[in-house]
Amino acid sequence: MPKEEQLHPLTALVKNESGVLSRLSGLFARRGFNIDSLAVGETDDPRYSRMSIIVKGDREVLDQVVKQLNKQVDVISVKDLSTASHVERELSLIKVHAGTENRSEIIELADIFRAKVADVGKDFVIVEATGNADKVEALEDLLEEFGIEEIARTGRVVLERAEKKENN
Amino acid sequence: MARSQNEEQATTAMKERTDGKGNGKGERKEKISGARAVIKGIEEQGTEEIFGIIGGAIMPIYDELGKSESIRHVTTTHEQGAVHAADAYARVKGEPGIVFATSGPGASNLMTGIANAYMDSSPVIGFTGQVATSLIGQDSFQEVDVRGMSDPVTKHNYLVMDPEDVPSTVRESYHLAQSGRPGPIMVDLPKDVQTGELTWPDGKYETEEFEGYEVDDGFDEDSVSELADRLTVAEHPVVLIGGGIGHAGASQELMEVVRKFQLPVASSLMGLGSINSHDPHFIGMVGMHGSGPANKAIAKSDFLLAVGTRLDDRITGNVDQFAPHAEVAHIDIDPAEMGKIVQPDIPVVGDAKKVLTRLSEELEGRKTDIDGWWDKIKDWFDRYTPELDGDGSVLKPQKVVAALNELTAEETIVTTGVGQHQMWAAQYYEFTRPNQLITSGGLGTMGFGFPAAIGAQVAAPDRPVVSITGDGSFQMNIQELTTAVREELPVTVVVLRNGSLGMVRQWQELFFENRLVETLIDDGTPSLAKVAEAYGGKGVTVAEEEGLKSGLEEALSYQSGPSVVECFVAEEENVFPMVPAGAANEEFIMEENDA
Repeated sequence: MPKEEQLHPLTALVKNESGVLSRLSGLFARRGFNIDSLAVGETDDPRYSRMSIIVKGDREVLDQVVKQLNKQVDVISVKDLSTASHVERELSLIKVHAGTENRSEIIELADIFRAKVADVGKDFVIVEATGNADKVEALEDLLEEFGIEEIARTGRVVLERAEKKENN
Repeated sequence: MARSQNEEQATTAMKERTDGKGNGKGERKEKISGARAVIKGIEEQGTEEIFGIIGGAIMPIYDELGKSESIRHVTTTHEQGAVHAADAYARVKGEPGIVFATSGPGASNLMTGIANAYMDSSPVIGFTGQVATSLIGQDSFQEVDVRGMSDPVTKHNYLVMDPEDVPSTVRESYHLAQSGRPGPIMVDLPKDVQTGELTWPDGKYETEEFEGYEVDDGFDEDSVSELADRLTVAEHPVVLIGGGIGHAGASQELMEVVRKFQLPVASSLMGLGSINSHDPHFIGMVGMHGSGPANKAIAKSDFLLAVGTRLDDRITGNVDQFAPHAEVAHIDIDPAEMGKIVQPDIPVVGDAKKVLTRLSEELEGRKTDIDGWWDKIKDWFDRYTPELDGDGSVLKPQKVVAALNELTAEETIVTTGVGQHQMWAAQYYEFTRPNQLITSGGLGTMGFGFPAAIGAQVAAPDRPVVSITGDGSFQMNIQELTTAVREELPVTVVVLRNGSLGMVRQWQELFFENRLVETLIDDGTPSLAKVAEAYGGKGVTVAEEEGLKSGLEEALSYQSGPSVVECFVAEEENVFPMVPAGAANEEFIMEENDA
């Protein structure tokens, strides 16, 4: 992918208060930042949420995103994980057309991707796939053959890997 | 009054108890209302004057305000007037400017002024009433999402849902507004939060550091050393200053650096006055209507030291051709300004006063010789200093500003609206001190100048305040004559009346083949001098050069309230030099025929 702008994963710890998500997503919009994916959830400490932000753009854009986020009072910390070792996951729920004739084929396919079948109905199954974005998208492509009815994706969540120097 | 005093006594007594042997445990503490806590919080910060307009949802706060002995409230005629006044008050006094407004339209009327304060980094705090928490989200009467609306134009904002949060919110707001890069804060207070009860927290509350916000007092010393080294070997250096010098109170430190190396200093609109205009190092304003020498010098410079400026498009012109040969050092307190527009070779994030102090130390004992560079700059002065000619048959707007400059004392505060008059004020008034020019730089808010003059006069009752404005700008907030008359504020409004929205007309003439669409406004505009008289102020009319001085003097000497000098100026006059939009700064045009 030569000309494509790079994707940069950012992780931000933010205050878990109403209005914060709106303020920050508004910031991305009004500054014209290109956000590929945004996922937010409460952390182990209910005072904070962790935001996973995938920014599309060059280094200068990324630099501005980080700086503008840091300026926000609601943002406790921001880290660019582009060059840091990190884990990235996305969960996708894919509702696929599935009659008796191809249900087992779909389940087999899901197995190969270590995906689960979350729900089975008369005409549909819901496949639950977790992994990095590439894996989830690859599965989606294959399931497309059977006809995808609906999809819900969480967006990517990212976390920096635990440091090796941890003393236990 | 009585209740307030009792309350104070009770609180003091309580403090004594807690500060003494006991730690307050088990003692019954007196409850106060959220509304009282807002006023108490403002009193605690020492704010003496605030601006605003009462309305339904903020009545409990005004009820407590009425009992305050230390706070004077100035009621304006429109909320926009109040917020611009608070903005100017903040800039003149160097402390947060406070504005009150009710919910819904009261709050939404503040937004232009809050945006204005945001763009010019002015510490304004807006307290707005909001419908009761139980009514929020129901499209209730006079409900508007103040926090949502103000998100893009505030440094931070609050919707207070619990009375107990009021004291910390007021304190945080003050801290946020004026620390680091200053900016506006909005605090939205639902009616039941105002009437609800809380216990005022004991002891001193530390707002110096709170989570998610810290102001780094330091800076990278190595970068400053590098800056000093580069500056020492620069052959064509230029210093470009912005409003940050005034914010940081760094004029003196700036001049120490400048004098050591005999550096030429250009200024943005917001930086005017931070170097005395009479200082031989000053080479003028930069940018779209900047001086020839300033724009030429930056275009030819090999080293640009930008301090406290965000290098916006009115400064840079075509960014690719802005200081194209220069190594750029950028000093600013906001890290996000580094590389936002121009990628600096030497970025220094820090307080201008501290960084310049360090830089000055670094330069100690070093020598440079840039006499040849100064010869060039002087040559540009010879070539590009516009002449104020004319036989006096028409009143030139520039001459009005020049006359005003001569007639007013050095401590005079000048406010402006936006447009041609603003640029003439910048070009022909010689500012000698920081924050002397109170103007709408970033947002370009027509109508800013007159209410700003009101705020400036309240902040500095002993200084003369003059508002240079146009007929377009003045009429956008002309209703504040009521306020100036009521408060007996001796502000002098000098209207450069040219019957048009002049700056746009100028663009139409130059870039739209002279198609003057909707820019001629004289039809319907009343005698502004008579309007002033009708409000109870003084009105003076000047139609030709002959009566200019006496007219201005008459108005300036009027002290019992506002005066308006309506100057019928040459309608066709345009602002030059001018850099056409998108052009390089050195491609400025000096007169009509150059375009």
